[in-house]
Amino acid sequence: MTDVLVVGSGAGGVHAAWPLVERGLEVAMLDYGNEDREYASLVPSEPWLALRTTDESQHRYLLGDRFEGITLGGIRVGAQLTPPRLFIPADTERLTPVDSATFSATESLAKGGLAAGWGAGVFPFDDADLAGAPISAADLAPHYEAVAERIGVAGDDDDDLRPFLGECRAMMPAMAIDSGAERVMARYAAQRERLNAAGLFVGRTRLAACTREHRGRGPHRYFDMDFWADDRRAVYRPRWTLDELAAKDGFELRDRRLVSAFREDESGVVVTTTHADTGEREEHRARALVLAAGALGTVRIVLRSLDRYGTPVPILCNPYTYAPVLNVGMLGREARDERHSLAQLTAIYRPEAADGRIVQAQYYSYRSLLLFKLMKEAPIGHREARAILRRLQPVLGILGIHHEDRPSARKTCVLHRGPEGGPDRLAIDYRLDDAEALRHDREERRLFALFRRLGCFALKRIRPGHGSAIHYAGTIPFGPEGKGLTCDRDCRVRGTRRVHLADGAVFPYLPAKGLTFTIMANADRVGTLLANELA
Amino acid sequence: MRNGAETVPEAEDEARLRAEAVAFTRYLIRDEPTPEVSARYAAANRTLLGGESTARERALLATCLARPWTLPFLDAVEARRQAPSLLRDKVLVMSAVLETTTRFGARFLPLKRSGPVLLLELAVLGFVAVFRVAGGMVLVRVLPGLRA
Ligand SMILES: Cc1cc2nc3c(=O)[nH]c(=O)nc-3n(C[C@H](O)[C@H](O)[C@H](O)COP(=O)(O)OP(=O)(O)OC[C@H]3O[C@@H](n4cnc5c(N)ncnc54)[C@H](O)[C@@H]3O)c2cc1C
Repeated sequence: MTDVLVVGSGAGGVHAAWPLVERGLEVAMLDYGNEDREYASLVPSEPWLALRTTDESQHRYLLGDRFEGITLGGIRVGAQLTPPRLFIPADTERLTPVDSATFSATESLAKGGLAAGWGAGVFPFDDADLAGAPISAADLAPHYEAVAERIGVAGDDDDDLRPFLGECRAMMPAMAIDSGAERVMARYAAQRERLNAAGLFVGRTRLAACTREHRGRGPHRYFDMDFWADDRRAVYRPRWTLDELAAKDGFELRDRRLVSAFREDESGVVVTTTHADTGEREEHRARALVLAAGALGTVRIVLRSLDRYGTPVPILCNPYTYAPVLNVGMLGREARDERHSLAQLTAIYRPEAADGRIVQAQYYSYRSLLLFKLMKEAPIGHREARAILRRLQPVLGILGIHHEDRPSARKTCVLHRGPEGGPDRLAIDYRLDDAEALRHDREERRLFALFRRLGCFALKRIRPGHGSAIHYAGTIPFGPEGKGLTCDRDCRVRGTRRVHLADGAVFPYLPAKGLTFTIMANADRVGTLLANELA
Repeated sequence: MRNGAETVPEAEDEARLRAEAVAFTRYLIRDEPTPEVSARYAAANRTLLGGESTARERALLATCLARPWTLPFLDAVEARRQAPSLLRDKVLVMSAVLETTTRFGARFLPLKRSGPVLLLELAVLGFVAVFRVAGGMVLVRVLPGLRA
């Protein structure tokens, strides 16, 4: 019999599976497994500017064969999800529908999950970030190291972010930053003490990317194509770990399976699935189950399996705001062509008297997401917009700001039984209270003021709506014994014998830092605990 | 359905779409579209914009095609309205199609300017943009069927 079934091949699933397979256990991964079969092979391995003037078929992957890269109407979530990345959320509207007037959820049924297109920002949690969890940063430390080695992390180990991100022995040299970010860092260096005293700390973003050859990947070639292709697999995707797992004895990927529920009996766990292509219903048995279907996917499976339809559970997602900024330090300067497209810089703002709470911002330069998308947002005619934005592009940056999120009675999701033959529907109600909204407003203004000292002037503040950070968590959180729909320290769902969680569902609090590196480290911890138990 | 909306006939007249491609390319980059670009614009229209449109939206479009000099003004004034606009959508689709061709793509790439030249050009372009909006406001009042 299979030892462990792992549901999901995303950031959580692959790192939970790894230690189990390493210990010689038989692991089967169940995943819906959508892939890109259309565009990856069309994108040349060339720098952005070069292919724009030479590749006759660029419109196919830049706009998509069904023009899915042109979005009309209001501001959309996940601008980085370009046509070659649209396999990531494919089929979710149909198979995992969400009803909400206040929250827009982006889920994935893809091989590698959402991290097949993530921004690769790596931000270990400290003890304050793990508030409400029965684990500490020390518990996660060896797992952060193991995961960092597996995925490849590049960053500065002794910059001003280190007090917030800790040290990482496995770290490669940081990615080179682009000309715009260099100007910001030069101004930061000149005023560092004053800015630090005001609560602002800036450094190069720690990225899950290879700056040297590592596990057959990289080094990154600075083609500015990271939103479109996976050149040399330099930027980490869970798919790379999945490929490594697939080459190991004891691991089996059972893809094209939509998992609906689990139940336990004397021999272990039984998981029911529907085959994506044949519609056939199947049962899979194992001694234990690890759910890593994403915080929303996992809560669906748990609520359905425990027949808790109609019961509200919490939901968290970092409130997100972004702002186009003019980086005046770039005025009249030539921007280097070589660059990566991911977050160049990370700024941590620690408001006064905030008990260690932080606001985190990422600085990006805008180029490879195409000009017409900016022209659309300009409140002037397209001709003048094109002329102005071409001139401004070298000085244009984007500041993406994340705030912490805490559970409240106004942030809940409920699973409703679907109509006969149709999928169950997750209803999400997510609202900030006035104090939270006011605090975000105040702290964003303060952050913009500090960025003005770095030569960056915000042009407009854009709030793309709740859910837009795509950092979902807290749906089956760590909780005390006896409290239903929570999990214990080992991430075991309370009331089950061997059903464990390995995604964002377990975190009862979200700091402003992206959570995915911690999902991976915790998944590695869960896999290790389970391996000790079963081996 | 929006006020006064009508469904655009499914097989939207190919010739009209090609005429739009010509008018919008001239407007955006003062050039002529290649047949391939026109065909791609028409295909994108059929995929993305085959739905409904209001009498006002159709009137705006017809005005721009009949009197191309009105296009910069009407596009600008539509940009100020925070409402769905078929004209804006079509010009955006044309921009996307042009930007992703080897022939015209360079006209959407960043331009390098020295600080003073940049500031001067931005001032001129800003003035033109405001002038277009003002002119557009007048046009919507005087030309038939264009009032919101
Ligand atoms: C554009 C973008 C940028 C981002 N940038 C960052 C960043 O820089 N830093 C950061 O920390 N985070 C970032 N994130 C968030 C990050 O991607 C997610 O937190 C992370 O990928 C979640 O991983 P997961 O394994 O928990 O779930 P998911 O990625 O959602 O994976 C779920 C897996 O489960 C499978 N699955 C789900 N339901 C079922 C089912 N019923 N049956 C079978 N299989 C199922 C799916 O196929 C998938 O493989 C970003 C996300 C996006 C979209």
